[in-house]
Amino acid sequence: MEKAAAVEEEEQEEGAAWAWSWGAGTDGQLGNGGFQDHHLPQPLLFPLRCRGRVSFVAGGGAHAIALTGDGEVFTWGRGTHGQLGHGDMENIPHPKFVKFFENYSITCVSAGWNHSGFATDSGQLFMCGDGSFGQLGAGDNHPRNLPFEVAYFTTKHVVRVAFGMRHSLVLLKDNSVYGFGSARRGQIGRCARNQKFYNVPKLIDGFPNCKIGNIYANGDHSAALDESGQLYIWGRALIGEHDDDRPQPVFPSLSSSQVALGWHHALVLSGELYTIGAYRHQKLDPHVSSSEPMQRLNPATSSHDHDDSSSLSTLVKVPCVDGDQVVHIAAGTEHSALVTDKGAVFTWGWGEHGQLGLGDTCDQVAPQRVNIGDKRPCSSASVNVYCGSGFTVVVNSGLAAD
Amino acid sequence: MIFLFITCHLAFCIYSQTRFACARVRRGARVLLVRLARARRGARVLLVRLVVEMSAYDEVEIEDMEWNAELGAYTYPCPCGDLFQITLADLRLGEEIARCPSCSLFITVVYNEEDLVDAKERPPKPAPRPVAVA
Repeated sequence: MEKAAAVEEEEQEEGAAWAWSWGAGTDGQLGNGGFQDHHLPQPLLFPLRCRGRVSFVAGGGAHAIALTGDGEVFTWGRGTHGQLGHGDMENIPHPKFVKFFENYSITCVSAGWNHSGFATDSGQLFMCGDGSFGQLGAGDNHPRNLPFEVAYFTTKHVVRVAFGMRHSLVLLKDNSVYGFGSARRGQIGRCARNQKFYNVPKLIDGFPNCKIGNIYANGDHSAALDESGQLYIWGRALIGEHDDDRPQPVFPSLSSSQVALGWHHALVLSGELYTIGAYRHQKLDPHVSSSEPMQRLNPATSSHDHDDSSSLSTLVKVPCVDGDQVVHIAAGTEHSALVTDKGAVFTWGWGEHGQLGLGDTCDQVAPQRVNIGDKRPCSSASVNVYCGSGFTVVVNSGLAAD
Repeated sequence: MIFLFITCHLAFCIYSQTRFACARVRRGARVLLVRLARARRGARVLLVRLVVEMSAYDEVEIEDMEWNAELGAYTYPCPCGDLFQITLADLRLGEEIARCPSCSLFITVVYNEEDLVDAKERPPKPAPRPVAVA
């Protein structure tokens, strides 16, 4: 078996790269075989058989999970809390097939700071990694180094998972949203006073009569998007200064199609691309509010009285990228990335670990084009970008195996 | 003769009073300078604290930090993927900055003296062992 694993590891891409990563790499999270930061795109060492099949990558604190179109799962990076699901606590610097799921078909994955979750096509939820804050939903606070099925959901059908730093959100087929893990900032909904965490899933109520399309989490933030494009946010304050333990409908004038959360900012795609919050995204430009390409909108929340005077209370339009349409977005803790309809990748925000992939460690306030070094023509449908805390991954899935 | 004596006495009085006044003024000035210096130092401390608070990545309560026995420090996730760290000894010295060993970011730690006394008497609980689920 050891031999088979070794063969699999050797069976890596030899031809032109189709997946890349850059940024913080000291835990092996770049999946390029090393344990160093890289400021420029590096080939991500997926096994050859993954070519053209990677449909999604979830980036955590320092680990990542890749999902293929036919339900296989690969993990790499920091494994100190068992979050890679291989039954040990080792860091692994290249994508490794999670053998536990050989006989399952996984349809959704998410990565928190040090925990991982996997939903199967039959609606089961498996978790592994750090459970200190109850974020595994196991009823205890122990870590697990092999995926286990969360008993609470055995009679329910899980369709989506989204994990923040220390909390987990789960969307069921029946449209209900559950949360577990840290409750300190309201990120898993309304909790009893002094209850710092829940290690058993609890229903997050407060959504109006709507069909939830997707859920999002990062840091201590939580968000959901309904099918009409209405955005709901709760948890640590992104708008105003007060945390919210009930999902708040925000920006009713926007019909959003995608959302990406960071630790102090969020990206909202609604035809145009907007950011909420700031930190490194605007730090270098104090006059950003008066500059031409930025356009502000009021959040105009319906039921809650937010502090609208706060500078964080507005959406800021991201300067357009050569007039191209933005088709995919992703957010790390303090950096952002997008893919245009022409398949070009842009990054901006915090760059200290090279997570912008521009060859340096500078911060950027506006999107900058990343030179992937991929000369082949590619369409927007095939290129996608994903972020972990301090790293970025790009996959061109349009290239089927030869 | 009496007139001369009175004049001399008066002159002496004026002289000694002036000297006394001068000394008082000098002492007053010295006190003022000391106070000014103290105020400046205070202002500098305030300024440093303000700058630290303004440039700190975040402000985190100690109860949200995790005790890491291996590092001998309280830790909190850093956005780079590593951990902000501050030792119990540093906290007891009044240090309130937790730094990340991998990057330039730091956070300010919010705590009460009593929390530290508690920490001394009640050693932080060890991390639970991983459970392998077959």
